Amino acid sequence: MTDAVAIPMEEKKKDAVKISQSYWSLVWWKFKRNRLAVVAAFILAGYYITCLIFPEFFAPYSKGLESDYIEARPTYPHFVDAAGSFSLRPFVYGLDEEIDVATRSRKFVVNESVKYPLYFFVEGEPYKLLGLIPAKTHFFGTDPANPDAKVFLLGTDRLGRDQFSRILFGGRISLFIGLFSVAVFLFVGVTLGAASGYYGGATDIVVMRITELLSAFPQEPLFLALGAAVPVSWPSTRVFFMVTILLALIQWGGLARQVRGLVLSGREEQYVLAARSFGASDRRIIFNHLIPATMSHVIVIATLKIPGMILLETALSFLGLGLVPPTVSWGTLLQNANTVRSISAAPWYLFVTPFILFAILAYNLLGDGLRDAMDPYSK
Amino acid sequence: MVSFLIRRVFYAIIMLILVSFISFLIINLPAGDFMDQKIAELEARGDKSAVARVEDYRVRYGLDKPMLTQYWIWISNFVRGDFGLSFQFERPVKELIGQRLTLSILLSLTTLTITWLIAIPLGVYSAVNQYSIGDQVITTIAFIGIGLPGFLLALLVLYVAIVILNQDVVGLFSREFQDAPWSLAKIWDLLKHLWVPALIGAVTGTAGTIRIMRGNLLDTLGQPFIEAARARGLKSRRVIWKHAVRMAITPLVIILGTEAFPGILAGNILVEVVLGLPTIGPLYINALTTQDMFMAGTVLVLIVFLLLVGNLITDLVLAWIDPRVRLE
Repeated sequence: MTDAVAIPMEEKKKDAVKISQSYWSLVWWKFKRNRLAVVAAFILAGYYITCLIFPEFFAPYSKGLESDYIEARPTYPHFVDAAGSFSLRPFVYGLDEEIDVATRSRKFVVNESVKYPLYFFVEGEPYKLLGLIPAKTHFFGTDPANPDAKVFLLGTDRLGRDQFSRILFGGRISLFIGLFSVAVFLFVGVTLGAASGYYGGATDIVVMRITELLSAFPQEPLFLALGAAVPVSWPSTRVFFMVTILLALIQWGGLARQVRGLVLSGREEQYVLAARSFGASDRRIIFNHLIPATMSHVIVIATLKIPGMILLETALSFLGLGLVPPTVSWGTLLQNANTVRSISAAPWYLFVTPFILFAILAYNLLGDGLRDAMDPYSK
Repeated sequence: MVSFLIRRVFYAIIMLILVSFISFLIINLPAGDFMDQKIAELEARGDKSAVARVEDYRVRYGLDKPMLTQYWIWISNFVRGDFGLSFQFERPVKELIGQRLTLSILLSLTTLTITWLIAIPLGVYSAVNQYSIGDQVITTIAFIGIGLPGFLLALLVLYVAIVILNQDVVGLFSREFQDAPWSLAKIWDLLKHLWVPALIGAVTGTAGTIRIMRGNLLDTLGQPFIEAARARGLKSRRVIWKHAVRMAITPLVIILGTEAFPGILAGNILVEVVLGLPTIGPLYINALTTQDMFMAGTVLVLIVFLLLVGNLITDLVLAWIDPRVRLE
């Protein structure tokens, strides 16, 4: 302890701050140092703000608005026009309908003589923000005074609906499914795992046998079979909740086992014995002492589970076994691209894919960063 | 060892019975009977003999009896190798699966070979040169690869092939070889198509395997026997490949048994559906959508069967390699 003298006062103060930090602030410190994970967190925040909370505002059109532009190609924003003159205000070109004599199909071509400037915060279709506040302003759009002016950033579908707007609205459902099913997954997994570990005996045997049975099934085929079993005649909200619950129910087994293991070892810890000797009830010990001790693990598992849930829903709906139109989700949007014909005729249906991929990747990066951060004492 | 074996086999059989029953229940869940639908359809067409034939199936498979009896009829036939009838195609399930089994096995073997050919050398390189630039590139790519869903990748491949390259990548055969008898030209055509789904399937698998290989090899390289081997003056390459990799590769046995083996039947259903392959995955999805219960049920139970057998074999192999497992 003699070399403690050699450390200058400044350093000591720094160390003191470090030592007196709580576990969670150490986690926060470590997390902040992981650039990729922080970027991922911001990307996800962006997703949730644009897709989950305010898609009505960020989308130029509503998800159901049909137009005469059937399967029209995307109109990308430009700053420099065909003549080479630059304008700070972005614009899109108009679209002309043309009949392809060879294939006898109609298609749209860019007409470079018509320019529609884009404006921010334009008046458009009225909507209710958060389902409550009536509003008309959209984040961007074309001049509301000119009814011919349209902007289809990512093209339109078979009913002339704006694909970009629909992707945002689809994100609302898909992202919400991720959160909601993970919430159910956590509730079932943590409760049963903790009960199994704490009470042991018959509870433990029953719960563990069920998890073993679940793990005997291949996850993807089982989920597809369960999804197919959801009656087609059900209203879309009920199908939505059923799919969400199924997602959680086929996966909770692994979580329950991990929580059980943590609770088993936590049960013998001094502070739990102390609480028990003070006469704390089982409920208090489980909810105030044992479960909080498992939280760091559980948060990481949950974060890494969300992208899997989103993907399973997308896959199920893509195959036509899950959500069905008119429900808009990333999976149902991807259904448009399920034939070779539609991919070659309207490749912009595939624009949903990068949206899904980035969300998945961001979640994986965030989860990985959290996993490292949850163990702040390691180097 | 013998009692361990008996215990595991007994356990697997109990599991199989339970799982097959649950699968049967799930497959039978959809409201409305496929047969009713089929009969209505045939009656509309006025096909009297077909209606009688379908009615005959109903009696033969006990579809008018309670669920337990139905299950019993089905499972006792199943054990004897009669998987029932596909109502959609009106042909035995066994025949339909048999037609596609070869291609499914071929696809999963190719995928596995590609995966390991890429993953093992990269994993070894990554571990031996820990923290080098190469290691960091490999680890990053592997990390991204783990999150990449195969079917979205397949869609992107379709896009590139159709829109940009104007190539035909759908299916496993070109049109002229679809029904042609086997010949060298047909095999060549198959190989030209096979690598696309195999490579897509390999992407996710490779990423995971690289990670496992790297982690295990790093653990092994730190052990005393490696140091001893080096101290005796063995060549570095020999130490790594003969001593360390051999130890570190055992977890791949687990993957082989628990993922690759059951994956023969439906390893990557979604990729197979997107690329329209004549394998078992799309057959399963089709059966689910049309409520072709014996077809769907058979595939599901067979996958579970392979999964259980794979687990059993893995357990035995591991117990044989590592005596500590036997004590549990």
